[in-house]
Amino acid sequence: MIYSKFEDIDTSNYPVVIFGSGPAGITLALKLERKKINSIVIEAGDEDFSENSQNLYKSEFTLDKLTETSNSRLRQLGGTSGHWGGWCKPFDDYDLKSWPININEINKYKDQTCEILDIKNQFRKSKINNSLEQIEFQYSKVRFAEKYKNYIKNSKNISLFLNTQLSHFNEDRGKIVNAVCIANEGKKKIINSKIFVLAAGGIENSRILLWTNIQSKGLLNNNENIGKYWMTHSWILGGAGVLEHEKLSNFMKNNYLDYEGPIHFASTLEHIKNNKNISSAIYMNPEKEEKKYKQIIKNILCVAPNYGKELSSRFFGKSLKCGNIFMHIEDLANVTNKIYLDLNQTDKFSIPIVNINYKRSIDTVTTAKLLLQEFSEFCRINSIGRIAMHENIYNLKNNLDYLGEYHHMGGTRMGQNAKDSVVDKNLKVHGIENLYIAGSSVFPSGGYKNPTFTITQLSLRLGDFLKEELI
Amino acid sequence: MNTLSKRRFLINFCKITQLLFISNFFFIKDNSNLLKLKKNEKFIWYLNETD
Repeated sequence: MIYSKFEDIDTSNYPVVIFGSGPAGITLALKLERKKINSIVIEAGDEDFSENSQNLYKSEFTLDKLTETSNSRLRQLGGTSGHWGGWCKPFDDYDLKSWPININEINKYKDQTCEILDIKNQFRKSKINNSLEQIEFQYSKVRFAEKYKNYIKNSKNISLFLNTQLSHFNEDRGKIVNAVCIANEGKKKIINSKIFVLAAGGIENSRILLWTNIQSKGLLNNNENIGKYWMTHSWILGGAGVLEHEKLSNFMKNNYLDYEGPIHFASTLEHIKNNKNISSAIYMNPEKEEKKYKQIIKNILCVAPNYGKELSSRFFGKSLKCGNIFMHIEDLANVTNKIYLDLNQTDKFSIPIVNINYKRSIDTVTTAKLLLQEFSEFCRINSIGRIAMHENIYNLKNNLDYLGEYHHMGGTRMGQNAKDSVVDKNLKVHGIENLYIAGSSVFPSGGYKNPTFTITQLSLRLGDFLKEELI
Repeated sequence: MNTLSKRRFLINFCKITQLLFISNFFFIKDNSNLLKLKKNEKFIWYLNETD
């Protein structure tokens, strides 16, 4: 059932309450339903977009200014899946080196994740040399609100309440007894349940825990890690260039991956280890923009007349790819990059607004330079194309062409104990027996891969764990 | 210059010419693969010397 606002219902029939209806929350509710477990999903926003609701997602920034958080996420049914790009790629085992779980523990949910995201379970990679590999993404078109709205309406196991903001949790002796919610019109609602799951997103999860800590005077044992080790992905313009598909395909012989969409290359584990740096990837878009083609060939004619003339004669060649080179770069978890509450500013629910203290790292630039250098040299030496690097990357300057920060990770990271993290390997908050966190806020590291695939895998795994807990 | 000297001179001349040709050939080949960085607007291009 879907309710447009919270009503007085008997919550004793619902052993699990999930806060947030994005990919993390809905996936968990679907998984629990398969196991015949009832759940309530509480969504702060409405069924559709509204500017008033969206404005409640504004944050402040100290240090570096990132993409406005009321643009990079959605406060409505389906969460940020309502406007995401749909890029999917599972994490590799080396991405999880600082996680308390291994890759097999999430990879067993790959098939189910692909089913939810309506994508093929095919993520090939092919080694080009010691530094580079061609990689494959899948692109999901799933908007969780569109795909699951009617399904939830007809579900007997899932009840969804809209326009209900979670404020904080109340506890008694290491156990959450209820959650305090506020309806849009300002009316307070107390929700009781056995298990509470916070799945409100990569910023809100930290915000609610920080506010709970203040409201309940240390319920979370004043865990000092809440909000810390917050990460995003640096999405930058790395350069521009030309690439000849056919020549690349010939070079790679049978190992070339022929797929639709952007062509992707990533750093190999060997490259990461040899250079003591972080993971990164390069991609060129598939669209053929004639204006961009002309501009790049014109630039090449200026710097390399012989090569430029050769290219001009093959201007409309199908195998020629001209365009910008974009990069996704891992963001190292840093304790000083954190979310904290601005106690002097509150929203209409009297919850303090978020302040993000974030400083971009020079590691991003050095990583970008090393990978682009490898790629440029590989293309040049093997006559596969010619690549240009953005001068600020070449000169290791941190004022790059940042294209936006849309992935919010960390803040309630997973780890062994309360000294180094907020949740344990089963996503349970340390020291609280019935409070769990779902979503990318639990990531101890974020690799360069888009987070939604892993978020979905973790929610499926949490569903299995909660089933065992409820027996 | 007697005939023997003329022959020796001719042989040495051929050897030197051959060496010059070979070294030049390698020089050209190496040159084609030499990295040359060139700046255009805000981009640094990774090019061959012969581009």
